[in-house]
Amino acid sequence: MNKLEKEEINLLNKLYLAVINLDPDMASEAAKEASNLDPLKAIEKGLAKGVKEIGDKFSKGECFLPELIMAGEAMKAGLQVLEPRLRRRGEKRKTLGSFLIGTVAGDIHDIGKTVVAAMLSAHGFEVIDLGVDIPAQEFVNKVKELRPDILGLSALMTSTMPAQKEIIDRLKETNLRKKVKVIVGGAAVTEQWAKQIGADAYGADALDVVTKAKQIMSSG
Amino acid sequence: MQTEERHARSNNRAKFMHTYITIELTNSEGEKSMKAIEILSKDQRYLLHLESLELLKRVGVRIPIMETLKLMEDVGCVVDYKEQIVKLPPYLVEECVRKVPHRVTLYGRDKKYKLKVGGDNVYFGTAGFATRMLDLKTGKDRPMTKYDLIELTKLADALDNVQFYTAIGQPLDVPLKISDRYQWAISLENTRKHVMCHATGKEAAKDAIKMASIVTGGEEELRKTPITTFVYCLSSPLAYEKEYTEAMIEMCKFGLPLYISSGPMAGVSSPVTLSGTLIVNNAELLSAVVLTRLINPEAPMIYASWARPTDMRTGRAVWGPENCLLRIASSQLARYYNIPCSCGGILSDSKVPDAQAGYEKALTALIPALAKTNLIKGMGLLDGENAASLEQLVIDNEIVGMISRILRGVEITDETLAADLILKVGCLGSFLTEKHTLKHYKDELWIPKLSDRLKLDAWKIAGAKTTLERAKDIAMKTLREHEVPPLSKDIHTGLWKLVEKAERKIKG
Repeated sequence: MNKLEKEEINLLNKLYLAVINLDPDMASEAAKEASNLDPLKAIEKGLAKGVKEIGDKFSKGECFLPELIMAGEAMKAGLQVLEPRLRRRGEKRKTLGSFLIGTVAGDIHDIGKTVVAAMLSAHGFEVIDLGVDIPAQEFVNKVKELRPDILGLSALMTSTMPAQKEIIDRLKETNLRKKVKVIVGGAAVTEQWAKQIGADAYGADALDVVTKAKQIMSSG
Repeated sequence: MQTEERHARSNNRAKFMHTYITIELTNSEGEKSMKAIEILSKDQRYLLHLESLELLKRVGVRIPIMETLKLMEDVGCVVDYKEQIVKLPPYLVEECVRKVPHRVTLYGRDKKYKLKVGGDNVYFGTAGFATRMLDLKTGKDRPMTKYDLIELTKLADALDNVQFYTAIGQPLDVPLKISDRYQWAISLENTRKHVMCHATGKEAAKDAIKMASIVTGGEEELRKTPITTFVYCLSSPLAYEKEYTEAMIEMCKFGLPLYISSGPMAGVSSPVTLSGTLIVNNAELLSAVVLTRLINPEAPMIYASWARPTDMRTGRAVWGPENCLLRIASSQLARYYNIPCSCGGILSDSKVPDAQAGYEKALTALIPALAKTNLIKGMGLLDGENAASLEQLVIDNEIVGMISRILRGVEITDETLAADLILKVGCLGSFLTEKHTLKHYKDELWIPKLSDRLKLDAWKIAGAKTTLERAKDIAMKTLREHEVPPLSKDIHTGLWKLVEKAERKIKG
C-alpha cells in the first residue's frame, strides 16, 4: 500500500467515524480534509457507510431515534462540503432513488416525517426534505423542478389528510402524476385512505416506508 | 382609563415577580426529592409498636425447641415449658431491636451483582415455593420439574431487572424430602445473582452452608461476601415450626443473612382488621429479632412482611388492595426500627399472564416500591405463589423496568432544565437534532423491551402479537442465547456430591 492509498483510507475512515460518533462538526471537518479525494468515494465509502450502519442498528432496535437522526445530521454536514464539489465535476451520487418528502399544509408535525427521512437516507435514498406546513402547490412545483422518483406526504391529523388528496389531484391536473410515485403516511392515515385518494403506497411506519420505497424502485 | 390599565399591568408584574422570588426561596437544597410514601402518623406507628410489645409480653410466641426456650428464660423471658410458649419483656425486645444491623450488603457469585439492602434502596427479585409450571409451549400448567427450575433460574439470570434470585419453585420430580438441596444447587449453578433459599432441618441448613461455601471458596469468604440469604417463614399467629426453626438457628449461628418473613392472613391467622394484622405481623417479626440476637447478635436480618388479606369466598390468601396498605405500614415500622425490610409484591392471584395478572402485579409492585421497601419479591409467579411462568417473568421484568424509572424521579439541575437549549431551539424548533437529546435520552426516557408502542398498522405488519406472545418470544430467544458463566468443574462436582449424599441418606 502506498502513502496515497493509506491517506485515502485514513480520510474515508474519518468520515465514517464522524457519522458513527454522531458528530456533525467532525463530519464537516473530515469532509474539508478530504478535498483531494474523489467526492463520490468520500460519500459512499465514508459518510453513507456510517449512516447505513446506524440505520441497520436502528432497525434491529440496537439504537434509537436520537442516534438515527444525529447520524443523518452528520451525513448532511459532510454532504454540504462534498456535494458542491460533486456538482462541479458534473457527477451525481449513486443512490437507490430520490425521495421528496414533506408534511402537508396546515400540519406542523415534524417528527414522523423526520424519522422517515432519516431512515430513507440510512438505507441509501437521496432525500429532499421540504419541511412542515408545505402548501400543495409547492409540492407540485418541487416535483416539476426536481423530478424525484418518489414523493412522500405526511399528515398527522385527520383535518390535514385531505391535503394529501389535493396534492395528488393537482399532480394529475398538471400531468405530473405518472412521473412520480406517491407514498402517504402519518398517524391517522390508513391503507384504505391511501387507495381512496390514489396514492401508490402507504407507509405504516418508517421501516415500512423504506420497504415500500425499495419495492417501488425495484419494480421500475 | 389608560393610566388605570397601566397601573393594573404593573401590579400584575409585581405579583409575578413576587411569586418568582418565593419559589426560589423555598427550593431548599439537600432535601430528598422522593420521600417514601406513608399512611401511618407518627403516633399511630408508635401505638402499633407498643401494642406489638404488649402482645409479646401477654401472649408470647410458641417455640417448640427446648434449648431456645432456656436461652430466652436466661435473659428474662417468662417460659411455659409445657405449652412451649415464651413471653418477652418489652425492654428485651427494644434492646434487641437496636442491635440489628441497619444495612446488609448482599453479593452474587459474580460480585457485580451487589445489593445494599437498607435505607431507601429498592430492589426487585423472585420469590419461591411454586410447585406448578406454566408450560412455555402449551401455556398449560403442570407439575414443576428440575429442568423447569433450571430454565427459570437461567432466565432470571439474563433479565436485567431481576436483581436477586429466590429459587422460584420446588421441583416435584426429585425426592421431596431433599428438594431444598436441589433448589440450592440449581440456583447457585444457574445464576450469578444473589441467591435466596429455604431449607428444612439442621442437616439441610448445614448442607446449604457447605454448598454456598464451596462456591465462595470457603466459609470465611461466605461470611464476608454473603452470596446467599436464608429464607425463613414464621407460622402465624405467633409460632415457630420446629425443624424449619432449627435450620434458621443453624444459619444464624453461622452468620448468614436471614430473611425472616411473617405472613398472617387477615381474618384467619390474625384479626380481620388491617391494624390487628399489623400488630401480629410486627410482634412475630420482633420475636424473631430477639431470638436471632440471642443466638448471634451480629447476624444480619431482613424484616419481611407477607401479611395478607383473605378472600372471604375461598379462604385463600390473596393479593388484593389491602396488600398495598399493609406494605406501606410495615415498611414504615421497619424504617422506624432501622432494620432492612422486604415484602411479597409484584404478585397476582391470576392463573395465567392476563389482564388481572397485569393490574395486580403493577399495583403490588409499585406501592411497596414507593414505600421504599428494600426487597420486593414475587417476580415470575402466578396463582399467588403457587405457579411459575417464564413469560410472566419477562412481563414482570418489564413492570420493574417501569418502576425503576419512576423511582429515579425528576432530576433538576442546570443541565436537565436545559433553559439555554430551549432558548437556542426556539419556538417550533426540534430537539431531536440536539446533542443534549442524544446525551440524556437513555437516562430520562425509559425504553421498553416488551411493551408494544407501534402504530396500529405497523403492529399488524409485525404479526399483531399480544403481550403474552411477545413475552414468549423473548423468553425462548433468551433461553436459546443466554449462557450463564459455568462454575468450575470442582465446584460443580462439589455441589452435586452434597445433593447425592443427602439423597443416599434418605434412601437409607
